[in-house]
Amino acid sequence: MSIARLMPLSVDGEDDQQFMERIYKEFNLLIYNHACRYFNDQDQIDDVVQQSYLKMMKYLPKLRSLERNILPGYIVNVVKSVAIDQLRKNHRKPSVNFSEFEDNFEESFVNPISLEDEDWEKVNIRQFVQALLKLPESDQNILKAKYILEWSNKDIAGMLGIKENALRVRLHRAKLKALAIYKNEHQDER
Amino acid sequence: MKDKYENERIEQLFRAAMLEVAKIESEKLEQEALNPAFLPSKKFNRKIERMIGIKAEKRNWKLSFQKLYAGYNRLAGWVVIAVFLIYLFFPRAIQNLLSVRLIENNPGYAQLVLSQTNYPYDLQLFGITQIPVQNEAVTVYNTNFEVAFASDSYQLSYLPEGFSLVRIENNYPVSTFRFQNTSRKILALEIYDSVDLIDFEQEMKANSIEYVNDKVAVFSLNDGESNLIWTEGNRTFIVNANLPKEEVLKVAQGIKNN
Repeated sequence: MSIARLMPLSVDGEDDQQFMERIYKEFNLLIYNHACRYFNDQDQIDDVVQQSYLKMMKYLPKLRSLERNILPGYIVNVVKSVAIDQLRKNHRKPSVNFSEFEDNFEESFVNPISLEDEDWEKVNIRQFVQALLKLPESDQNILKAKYILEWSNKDIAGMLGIKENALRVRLHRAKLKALAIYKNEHQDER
Repeated sequence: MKDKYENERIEQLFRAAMLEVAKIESEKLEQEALNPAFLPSKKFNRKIERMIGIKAEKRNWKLSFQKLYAGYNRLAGWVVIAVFLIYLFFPRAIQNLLSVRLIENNPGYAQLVLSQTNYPYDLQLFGITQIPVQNEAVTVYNTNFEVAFASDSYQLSYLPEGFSLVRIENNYPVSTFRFQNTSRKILALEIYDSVDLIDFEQEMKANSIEYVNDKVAVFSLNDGESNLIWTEGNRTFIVNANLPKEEVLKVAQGIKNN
């Protein structure tokens, strides 16, 4: 991995517009191609791309602080979130949606566990990442919006078309699921 | 999640883990980005550019000219370096190449630089056949020329119309002067530092005996090629050309020793 990929894309003395210009030059194709995954209609693709740029400009300080090797993931998650928002507004069921929450998820574990006695400081991060990747996509999307995009609860709730209280519940449940998957898979190692 | 401290630990854990997830995703996306399936239109790109505030670049003629000039200078620099390097290793080849080009482009003018250097390389590689010479530099204009081995100077007072000097080859004991016209006919004058060239066999091949400035000359015609040979002082002269006998005789009689 090159050192350049570990550095923020932003450079000293570069203003926001110059930074956005470089984002555009480097990632415009990626943004456009991901928008095309959600829509066939050209106008809607254009809307998603434009909205994605506006979102990135809104969260520009965060964007500028990111390392280069995280940026593609960040940007694509912005596009995905905007596309989901657009799909919801169109009253269409998105192919990737946030309504797939399984209420009886916890009960689906063969061996229900308690999270109370876990020492969360000793968690193996790589193993925990694998647990996160096993979450349903809807839960992953909420967690990405919260921890990668670092959007406010208001923005995430707006994207999902739910109230902030409902968002907090979903976030909490998503986190519990991830912790439970991790603990369930690695309880024998401790 | 018992207390505030534990909640904070869990928040940190998720933040760190989700960044790792983003890195994993980014690696895949970088690969995907190499082969984009869709390309936005230029019109749409301009729309995005306007939204971001990227100004359309106006053509700066002065800058364009400067870039062009800088590019030209760079190119010229590389050409000079390349020529210098070739000249460094193959000086004789370059000299000959330039001479050939000069002669081809200036039929009325010929220049050949002769040096004392022996040839450490094969000129045939460059498509040039040139006999090595061992004389000082000689410059020749039109029909005034020097015989390299004795510093004698000769002048042709007659040359058939359209002919001009194109090449000199000095290889002791002979200096050869080649003339050519626009239809690529050749006239060659050879001057030998010897008088032993007319032998009995040549005399037998002779078509006729002629006189050049009161000296006996042997003329022969072979496949349309006229050949006239005679001696004068310590020199033997040969005129060879695809010309009628009368023309060849006129050339021979026009050779004056200055």
